[in-house]
Amino acid sequence: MSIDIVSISKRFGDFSALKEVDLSVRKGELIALLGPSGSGKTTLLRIIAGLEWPESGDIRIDGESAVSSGARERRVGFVFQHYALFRHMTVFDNVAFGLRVRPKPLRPSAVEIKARVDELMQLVQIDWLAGRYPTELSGGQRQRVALARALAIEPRVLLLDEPFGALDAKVRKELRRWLRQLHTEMGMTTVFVTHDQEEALEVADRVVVMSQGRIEQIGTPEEVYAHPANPFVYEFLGNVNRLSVEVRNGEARHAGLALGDIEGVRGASGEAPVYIRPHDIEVVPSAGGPSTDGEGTVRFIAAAGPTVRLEIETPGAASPIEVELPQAAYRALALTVGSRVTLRARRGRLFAARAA
Amino acid sequence: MLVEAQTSDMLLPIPVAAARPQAALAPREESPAVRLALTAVALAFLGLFIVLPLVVVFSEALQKGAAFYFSAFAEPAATAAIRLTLLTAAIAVPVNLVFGVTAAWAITKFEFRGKSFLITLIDLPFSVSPVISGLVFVLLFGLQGWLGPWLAENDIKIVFAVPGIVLATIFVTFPFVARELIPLMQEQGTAEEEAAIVLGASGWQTFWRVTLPNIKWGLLYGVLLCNARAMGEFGAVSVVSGHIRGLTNTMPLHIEILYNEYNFAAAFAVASLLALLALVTLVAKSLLELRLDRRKP
Repeated sequence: MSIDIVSISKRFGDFSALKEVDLSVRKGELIALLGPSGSGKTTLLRIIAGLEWPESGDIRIDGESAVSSGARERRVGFVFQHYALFRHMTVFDNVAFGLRVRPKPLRPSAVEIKARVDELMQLVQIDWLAGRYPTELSGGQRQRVALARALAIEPRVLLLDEPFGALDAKVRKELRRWLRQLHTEMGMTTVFVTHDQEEALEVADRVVVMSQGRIEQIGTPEEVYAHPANPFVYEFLGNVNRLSVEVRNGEARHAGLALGDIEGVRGASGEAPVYIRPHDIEVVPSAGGPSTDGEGTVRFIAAAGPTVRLEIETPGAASPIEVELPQAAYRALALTVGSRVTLRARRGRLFAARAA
Repeated sequence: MLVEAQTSDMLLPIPVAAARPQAALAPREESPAVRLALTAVALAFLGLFIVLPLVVVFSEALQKGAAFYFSAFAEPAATAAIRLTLLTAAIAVPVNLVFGVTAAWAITKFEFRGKSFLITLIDLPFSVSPVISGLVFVLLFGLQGWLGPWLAENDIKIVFAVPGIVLATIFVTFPFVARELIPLMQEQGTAEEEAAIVLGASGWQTFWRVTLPNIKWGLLYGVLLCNARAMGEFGAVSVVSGHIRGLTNTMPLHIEILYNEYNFAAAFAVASLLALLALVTLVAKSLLELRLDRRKP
């Protein structure tokens, strides 16, 4: 089912949590709401679920306005951040809850409920835990119970609030893959909230980057990573170097390094910030002799992992420039702390200072 | 976490325990003398202020033999007092149960203006002297009180009658259930209720199937304390009762009258019944606490 969010605003006292947010989620899509805490992403999710009321705006689920109906009528599956499992009920009873509270005429028989719950528990691979209580489960298991419980009511959309937030790194990774797979199998429209950019980029079909109650950018993981719409998205998604450059005659210059293909230079002039990803910087050992444009000194090397991270001090930049190199390239350069290198930015993006 | 702990152990090859001199004490251990002294003081206090009075109550009650002891209850005034006490508790406890659950529910599950004021108000009966609690009702419903003339006209008796006693008891025992539930429900938060509603449960279903099962032990505990106080209340009830023998005397008031009449054995006999109630309450409370502890994750 599609979800259309039209100009939703929400305030909590003096705090404006959402400011006229618009968002369309297509049928069967897996969407990540990504942002730092306080960006309004969880509020938006709760508004979709009907747990929070917007001050203005509309929500349409499958074209039908849902803003006047409560959480009870919306038939959405919601997985809470800390799962909110019913602590006095067994796993089975937790999953069966949504079916058992249906009004009499719509309620399946006990046999049907049992069959449905068993099927769901198998789907999320927790059928062997049916008799346990939530306190007797691990975080990953609780997550699966919460998911099975949400799916039991055959929701129109599935909403997950920080689904992996409370899990340790290894379980998180496994569940992430599993959620992706489950989504592919069921094809249910799914929205999840996360503050972890890696998670959003890896799992989602489209990522919605939010900050301070507004949507900064919507796009596929590739789009938002490669073409951030503004400095916030640039800084929030992955590491980035921010350099202040001088633009003259349509060319950006920086004392610290040579600049290659910089987007957004046209039309800019004067002092402006340029954003460059650490892996978009080329490192060449200096030939020696007098220092030239773009020369710097290696100050720090973190060589563990698939990429090597260097911090390079240049005369032109206030803080060291971060560079990421593949292991092979790093080894070929034979760098050590103190090595003199020349830097060249292959690509970057200039954002003209926002008109005040 | 586990892996981290192991690696740090490997980095620290000297076991911490072995590095400690043998004679040294763990930071939280006291020397045996101090421990003994502290225990002795505590036990002495307990004996002097709790056990001894209890022993006195029962020994005085049985001083004239078991036959006299039981005859003290057979006296019509005593039976009437016991009946009135049971009646009062039977009304006050359910009323405060409903009120306490409602108030705790409202305070912990919703945000509204004047919330902290409501919490303070609930505590009022605890902070006001019981005598004043009783006096308030005399001033309200007594013949010279605000509503007195109207009540007299319509021939409704509240003060110096059973309704006054019940009202005063409700007032005094007002905070027990709510006070017990508010912290419990605050700690539990609203997530489970929200989950229930998203799953399609109505407000009523949410309360019966999710909220109530989560608070039942705390609720029972609150009811127990409320009941103990409802049966034992003296001050407030004494002011509104009027001390009419066989009509408006509760057990505590009846005990006082017997005592003032130098009928010590009978006074202590009835008192022993109240003390017994206290003991039963204590045992029930300990059992509940055991139960509560076991349920903690």
